Amino acid sequence: MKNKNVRLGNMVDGVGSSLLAIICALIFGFIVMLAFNPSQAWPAFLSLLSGGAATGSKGIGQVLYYMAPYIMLGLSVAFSFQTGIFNMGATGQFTVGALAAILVGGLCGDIPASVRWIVALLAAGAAGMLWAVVPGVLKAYCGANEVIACIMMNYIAMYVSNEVIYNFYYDQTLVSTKYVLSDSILPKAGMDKLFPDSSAGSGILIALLFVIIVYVILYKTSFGFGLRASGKNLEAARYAGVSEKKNIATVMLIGGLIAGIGGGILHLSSITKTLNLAEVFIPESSYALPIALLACNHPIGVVFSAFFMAWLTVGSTLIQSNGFPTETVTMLTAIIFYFSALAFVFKKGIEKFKMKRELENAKGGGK
Amino acid sequence: MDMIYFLCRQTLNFAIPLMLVALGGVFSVQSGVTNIGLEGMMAFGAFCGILFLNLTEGLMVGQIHLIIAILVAIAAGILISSVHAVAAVSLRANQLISGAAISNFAPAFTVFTARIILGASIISFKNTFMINEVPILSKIPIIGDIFFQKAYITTFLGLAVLGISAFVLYKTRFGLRLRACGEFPQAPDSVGINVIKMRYIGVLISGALCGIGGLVYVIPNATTFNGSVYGYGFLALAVMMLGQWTPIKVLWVSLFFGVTMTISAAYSAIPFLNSLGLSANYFKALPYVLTLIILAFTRNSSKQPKAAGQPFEKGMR
Repeated sequence: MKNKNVRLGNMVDGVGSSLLAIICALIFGFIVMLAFNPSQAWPAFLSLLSGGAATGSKGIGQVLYYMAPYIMLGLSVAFSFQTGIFNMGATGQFTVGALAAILVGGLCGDIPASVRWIVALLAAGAAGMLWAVVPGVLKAYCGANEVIACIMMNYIAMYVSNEVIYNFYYDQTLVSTKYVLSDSILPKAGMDKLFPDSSAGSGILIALLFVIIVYVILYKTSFGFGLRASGKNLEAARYAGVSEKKNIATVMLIGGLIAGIGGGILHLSSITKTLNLAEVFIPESSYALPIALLACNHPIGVVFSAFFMAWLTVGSTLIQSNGFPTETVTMLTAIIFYFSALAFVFKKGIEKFKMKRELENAKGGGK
Repeated sequence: MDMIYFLCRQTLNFAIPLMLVALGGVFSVQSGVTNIGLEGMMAFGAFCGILFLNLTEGLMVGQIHLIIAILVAIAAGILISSVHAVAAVSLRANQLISGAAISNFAPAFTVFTARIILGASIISFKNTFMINEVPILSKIPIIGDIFFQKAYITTFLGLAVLGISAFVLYKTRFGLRLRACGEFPQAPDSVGINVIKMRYIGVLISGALCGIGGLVYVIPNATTFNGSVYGYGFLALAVMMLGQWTPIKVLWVSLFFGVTMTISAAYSAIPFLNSLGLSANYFKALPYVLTLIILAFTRNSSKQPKAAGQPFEKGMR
């Protein structure tokens, strides 16, 4: 019983520190907006926060649409974080996953439409895993720095996907991939009735399924326990017989799988979502780390932080009428990212404060 | 022969900024603070410098204009690195997270600012800084052709910074103290050195060098700037590691990368590479692929300052 209370207390601290980080970031972001365009800053800020609610059921549908890949990105990073690996490779894995899904969805018309989206998502997952093999193996068996290896793989992913797009599925007027076949889109699962005109579909359901899977792996299996143990204290885990190298490689692979499928979900949920031929990363993929961090790397938390980020993303489409570019939200995300680094500090602060109070209470009780 | 000189100059144009940024990383890591915000600091420094050039175009020309722009870039680099320093040193946050956040923040902020101030995400500037021929020195065979024709003062600035860095880190009291803070901060702390202050200095120097590096990267290689430095700062991070956190080795590694980047930028002018018939994307990916290969075959993490990445708390053991 006491154990449960402690866990609950930890969760409350975690949520509190994340909320504190978000509030600080929003205040700071607002100050930046105020500095650049004082008259429009407040209305723009309000419409940013109104997010999905501003356009009714369509807006909510759009939030769900963005939420699905965000959950996958956050899960991918959170999973490796729990094992003590700082995974910046989700961007590249997301890119190749998107590419693989688009190629299957666009070129493999021979596969019956009823299973084609499944094949496409599997291909996306496989591509993501393939991209995670290199940093995984380098980190586990060559002792290379995983941060550098992942970043290099991100850039290689960008150039490789540009090359593949240009050679196999290029549309000159769109400067991106062509549209996929219309029957390759993920099943709508009734979402189109609930949220008309939006791109919502079964993507969110798939993402939630993965949340449950990751939660079960991490918290209900001995494998997951070993992973978390080596994330908390590597020496202790090693002493207890956790195979560190195998764990690192496995975690990277699973992370790659999840991120890759995420890329597939984003690009197969709406027919107009194509993969651009450009020398920049897919903008959505930069939210991976902030989402995981705001969730304190907990799979259930990822659902909420992904929802929040999706809400802001939808809100960012509204602020252009106030004279603010869409980059506002990218910048705001980066600020949230920065403050999420401080979230752990806040959390420690809250814990310290509580401990102090408890100590004082105990002293008071002793009198 | 002209071709080879051209390639050598081009290599310098790529290698010098890479070296400057990697040196910035060296200062930060040697003081005990991991800095993966190099990319962001570089982009921010370049942005402020280029924005200054854009806004003051016509008021000034030539080297003075460039020097002031460099000072602007240094100030910008210091400003943004102080954000990292506050989180990483004072608040003892996760240094990887705050660094990565800065690398995300800077490109977004630069595009945001450019859109609002100039109405476009791309900033253009006039390059009036190339010195066609340095009198007398350019007549020296080979060296004159490489260093003193179509040259930029930034090349010499970079080499000067390299010399000063090596001297400061290894021959001065300050350098010894800085390195001690990265290796085993309890020791300098026990003799009354302010570890927090030293780490701040390390990170701020890193920001200043990244600022210069960013500007120096953009000026010879482009006439516009769109807010991104294309992962150059991350490559500098790799250069720093492969250079084992020491200035002179960083020079060699960055020259090596300079060559590969020259290949990726100018492959179509090199008959042998052009005849391979490979597309530009392969050459562009080359530096990143090479980094991975070298990472796979080198194990030098033992040379990394021991306390790098660990927040310092006074009185800890």
